[in-house]
Amino acid sequence: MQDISGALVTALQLILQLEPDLVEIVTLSLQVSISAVLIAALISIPLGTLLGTYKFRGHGLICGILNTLMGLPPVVVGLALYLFLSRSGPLGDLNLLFTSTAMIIAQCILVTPIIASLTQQTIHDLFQCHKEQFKALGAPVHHTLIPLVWDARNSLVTAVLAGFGRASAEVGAVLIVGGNINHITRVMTTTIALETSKGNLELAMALGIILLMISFSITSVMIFISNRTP
Amino acid sequence: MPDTSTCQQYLPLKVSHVSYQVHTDLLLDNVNLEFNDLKRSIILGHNGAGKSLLLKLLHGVIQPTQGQITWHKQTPNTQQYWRSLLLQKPSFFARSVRYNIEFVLNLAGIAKAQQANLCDEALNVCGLVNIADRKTHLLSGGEAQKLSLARAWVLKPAILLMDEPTVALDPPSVISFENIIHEFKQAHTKIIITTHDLAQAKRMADEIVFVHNGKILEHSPAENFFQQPHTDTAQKFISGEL
Repeated sequence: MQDISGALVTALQLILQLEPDLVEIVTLSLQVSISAVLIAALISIPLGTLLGTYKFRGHGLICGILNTLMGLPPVVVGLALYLFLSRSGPLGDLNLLFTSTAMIIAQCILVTPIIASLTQQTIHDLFQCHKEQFKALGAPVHHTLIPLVWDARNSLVTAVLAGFGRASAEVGAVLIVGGNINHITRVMTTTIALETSKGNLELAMALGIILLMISFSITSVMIFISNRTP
Repeated sequence: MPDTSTCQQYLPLKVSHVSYQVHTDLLLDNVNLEFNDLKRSIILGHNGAGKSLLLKLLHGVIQPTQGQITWHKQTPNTQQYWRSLLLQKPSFFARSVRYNIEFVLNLAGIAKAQQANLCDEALNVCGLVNIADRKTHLLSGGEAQKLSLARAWVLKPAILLMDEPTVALDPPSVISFENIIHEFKQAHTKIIITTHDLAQAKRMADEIVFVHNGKILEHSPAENFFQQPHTDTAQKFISGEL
């Protein structure tokens, strides 16, 4: 109990003092997670929309794979990406290992199946509601995609937020491909893991509380914006 | 709106030996039908008789498992925008009334410059001017059906097919809806409506197609049908025994 109250006090102190190291870690965390989620959303919302409206050979297989990938173990993604980006790997020449770009790629791989699967299900359900009407109106499917995505925007915001939750809470993959290097690739989750291993539980919990507050703030802002959209 | 000659270029509608089967269920059985003129045709029958199915076949929403349907020698497909189908339960995008009408204009490739005028005209005819910017999820049942009609009116169809459009409406809404349908009639649109409502059929029909268990039992002028039906089944339906 003392730990928790101490953590709360430490968290408040850290926030109020705006300690440069903390600001740097928080900023990098947000940069990595928001970039990963934006890139993943740009890939997965169109992909999920197409999968939700068109049927083709192998459609079920792709949806099944996407659903399976929703539960991808982060350390496996981290390890696979490490092998690709290491000097002896196929992408070694890009020198991306232990950079924030590698962390963005790792998070993007983890988040894309989540947003794509949730988008596919949302758009599929909506499309089924309108399917007969679209046919009666003589509306080809490609004409209906943008209005359908617009109508589903609140659910899609939820899907993106689910992806952001996964990205911001992720530690295994970013630790492997980022290396948790101070001032370069150190983010909130890897710092929490590090401080816990050093026995700085108050600081680790304080960082955890800040991470929760950031997630809550971003989620609230996105939901507020999506609800205000006409 | 289309003049009589325009409508006539899509007639006759010929339904030849059309059947529709799902697995072992024969839902429409060897239907033969022909519409040659602009009379208001009512497809009458009880629930499950096959009326809606027949209407969807006429529009090309589904294809018959046997037989052939032609509109002046053309096989129906839903992208023939000279024909509109109103569904019993229409659906709309969750946006404004105006947006849903403009969507149809975009589908038909109408130039943007013409869209505002056409949209305003449809809103006016269907009594939707005051709620043009209202979101569709806020519409009443009657307003939703009027929007469905406006979506048809805006393309000035030569043929208008309607699947029990007033089934969920209260009496004032039904009358209001029928008045708008009268505007289509005035504009020489060929109208085909399905209904199980005898009173509505008597009010609106020039001719009746009576459907029972997937078969057409009668196709006759409305007056003859209601005064001297040819079959016992039709007689029972009129007297409310069926």
